[in-house]
Amino acid sequence: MKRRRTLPRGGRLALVLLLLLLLAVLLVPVIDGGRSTVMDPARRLQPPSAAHLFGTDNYGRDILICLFEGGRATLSIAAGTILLGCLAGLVIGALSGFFGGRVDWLLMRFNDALLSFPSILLALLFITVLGGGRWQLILAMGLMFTPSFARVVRTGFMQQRSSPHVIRVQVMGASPWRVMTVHILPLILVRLSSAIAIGLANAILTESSLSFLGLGIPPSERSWGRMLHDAQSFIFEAPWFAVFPGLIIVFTVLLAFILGSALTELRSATISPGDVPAPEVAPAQHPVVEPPADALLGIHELTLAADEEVVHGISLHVSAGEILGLVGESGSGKTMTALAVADLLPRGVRRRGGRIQIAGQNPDLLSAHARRRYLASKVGFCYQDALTALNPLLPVGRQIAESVRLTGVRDTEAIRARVLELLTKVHLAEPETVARALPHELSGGMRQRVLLAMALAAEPDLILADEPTAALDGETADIVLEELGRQREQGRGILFISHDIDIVRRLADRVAVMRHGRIVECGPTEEVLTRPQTDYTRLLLASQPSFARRGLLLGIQTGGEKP
Amino acid sequence: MSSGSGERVIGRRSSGRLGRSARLVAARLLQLVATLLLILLFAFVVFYILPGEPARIMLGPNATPEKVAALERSLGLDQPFPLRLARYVGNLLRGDLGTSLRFAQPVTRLIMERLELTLSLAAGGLLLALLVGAPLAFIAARHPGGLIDRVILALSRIGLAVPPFYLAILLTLAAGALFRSFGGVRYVPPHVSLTASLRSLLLPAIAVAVPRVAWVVQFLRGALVEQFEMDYVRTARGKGLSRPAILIRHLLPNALVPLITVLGLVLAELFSGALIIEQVYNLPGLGRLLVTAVEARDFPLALGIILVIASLVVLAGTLVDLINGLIDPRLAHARPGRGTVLR
Repeated sequence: MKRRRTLPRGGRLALVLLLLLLLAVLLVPVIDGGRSTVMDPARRLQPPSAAHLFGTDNYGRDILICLFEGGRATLSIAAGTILLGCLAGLVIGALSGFFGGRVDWLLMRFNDALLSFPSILLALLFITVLGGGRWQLILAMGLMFTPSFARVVRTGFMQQRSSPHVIRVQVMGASPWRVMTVHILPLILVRLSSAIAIGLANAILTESSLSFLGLGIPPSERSWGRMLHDAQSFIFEAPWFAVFPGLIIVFTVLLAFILGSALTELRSATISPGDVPAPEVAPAQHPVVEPPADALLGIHELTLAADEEVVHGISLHVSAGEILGLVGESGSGKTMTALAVADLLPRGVRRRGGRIQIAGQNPDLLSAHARRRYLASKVGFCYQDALTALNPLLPVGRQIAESVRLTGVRDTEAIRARVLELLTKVHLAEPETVARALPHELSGGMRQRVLLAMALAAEPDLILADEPTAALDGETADIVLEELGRQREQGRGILFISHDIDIVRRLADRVAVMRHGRIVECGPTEEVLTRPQTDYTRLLLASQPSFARRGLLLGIQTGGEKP
Repeated sequence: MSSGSGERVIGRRSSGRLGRSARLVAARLLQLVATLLLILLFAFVVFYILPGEPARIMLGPNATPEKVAALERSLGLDQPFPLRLARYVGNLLRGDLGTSLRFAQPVTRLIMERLELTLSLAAGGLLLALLVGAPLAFIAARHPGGLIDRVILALSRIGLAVPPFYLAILLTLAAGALFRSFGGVRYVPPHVSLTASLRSLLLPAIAVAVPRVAWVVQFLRGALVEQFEMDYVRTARGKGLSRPAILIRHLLPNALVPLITVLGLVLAELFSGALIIEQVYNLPGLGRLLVTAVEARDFPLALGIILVIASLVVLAGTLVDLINGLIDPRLAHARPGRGTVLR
């Protein structure tokens, strides 16, 4: 993962073009010296030509030069607005974010009320009282832009306040003022830069709207919006008069938007966590064992890759009526392997090689549609995180019913009965109530069992259980484990992923140990867990508190007593 | 059933969804009142604390002192500030927003005469933003980062950068070039002829809608891409469901909440868009009235219009919360202002 320290190309281009525009706005009227913006009835409303690239207006002034001159008002008002809004937002946001509590609550309620309200109306309210004009516009618009800046600054302060660095300086006795200005503010400014660019775009749009309405800067002065206002009466007579001022507004606003979103990218990149530590030494792969011909699941030299390889040519098999425990620390590739079997790999992770055989079929040889159906009927997946794996807005009963329908049951009553049967099977009391409930209305243990019921619904040959007991209390975990044991007795094969060696020892017939995307050890449970062949397995066993308690420390071998 | 018996399905208390919705409505109405009071207070402070005598500003430099004094009396400016505010609120509750200085007519009547047009324009804009924006968002979200996605996003960015009044001018130019007979937009009220009324509002509605289409596209596309990556979609795929089934049964209900949220924001922004577009097309709506009021420094009228639009915006927000609470009961649990953490 590389940190991005420079702006993306689009952002850089936008910045350069904006600076060029600024330069032109500052210099061109000076160079011209007012020659082209003098009123001259003889040149009235001339179409674009070599002498006047953008044509002339109703007083015979050169529109191109007028645009550069009008840019001074538009851009200075926008800049003033942002400066005012930004400073006021900094003060409010900093107070709110740094002190939190009641100050924060009060300021943010006020802030939200202003934010929820079309801001141009507030500006109009001000102008009713103050009248139009440059400073009036800056004041009115600056105030209406304040709430959004305050929000950005507050969020930044909230995040930085609890960062280790800031806490350290505070412990060392720095004053709140010093912490705020020296240690937090610079970090906030990075965050603020994109808000400033986008604010600039919006300020230009607002100034143009107000001046276009005739409520912004007075007729004696010139801004882009004002020029459009004047051009309105000549739309059909001299379209160029209106088209070009509008174009320059669109152009400038677009550039500021592009710059803003480029800065956002820069910002999110600078706060992303650092590099992922590379695996030290590639562990040795367990020798490839040809799966038995009748294996329910055969994985042969499976390789998975995202930006880099995450699973390196592993081979595994699960026979009917067998539980294979797949153990290893998190990030070792256990879940990715299971997802690859079910053809459910997340976006960005691809299979680079290897073969997967399920119930005597290679699903890769089927058409996409047939593969979906085949896998759904043969493989039941009990996902790790039950809350996110369930659709939050669909009653769980209907979610299970979708899987039941796959077994060919079409009759509504029969489906209902089967759903209730499945829920009862995983020891859920009041199955009717549970079936009608939405996931968030159930406890974590209940959700996990709903998920198990769903995995069993299609009567699959193979069950992939990914940490099905990780979030459960002992009693509920037992229910799940017992049910998995029963499924084995009925001849189903189970790939049981866990990092809890105790549970694997209790349940699994064979164990495979995975590390950094490789199988480092594989064999019968008792053999692997009592006479580990690799240092890594020994380390893994020693790290389990229950084993440590029993004195099974690194390198110490004990008899194979079952717990 | 030894172990399961102690567990309860939570969140199904006697009050039920309707009770929760009622509480939500009450909370939002309270917020409406608070927002209006805040705006009122704000407006009064701005109006009465800022330098210069308001009455003199309104009447211009050539007004006689007697005239100024008379206006001050009629505005209640000779009375203390809290009393004035209290009186305004009292009148407001009776539906009386004062008298316009410019038109010498009750503000309420002036607003009522023009409300219909602004509402129809906003409704038309909303419809267009939805009908054009939502399909584009779906198409873009199908292959995030793909060519179509990038083109649609770039277009929506341009849409955001084009000021509605400029678009209105361009549309007028185009209509003039395409149809010889095009003589500008002339509003026809719906009770005269519904079809003619719709036709007269088409160009203004397009001009108002384009930047909001961009909002809908960007917001909804983001939400859809996020939903596509969700675990529950993976679960649905794992069940062997077809793409349309996943889309209709699983994705759409979950994408509906962000869609309705963005439509609420769009509606609020459409009102300010309508203010400007009415000016371009010379439509006799609230926007033109407001511009006239601001130009004439007609403070009672301007404040009245702003309060009415503020109420409409907050009401739209209430409606959004209500619908979303019905779609996703988890949201109804969250009480506004309590910072409930949702997962």
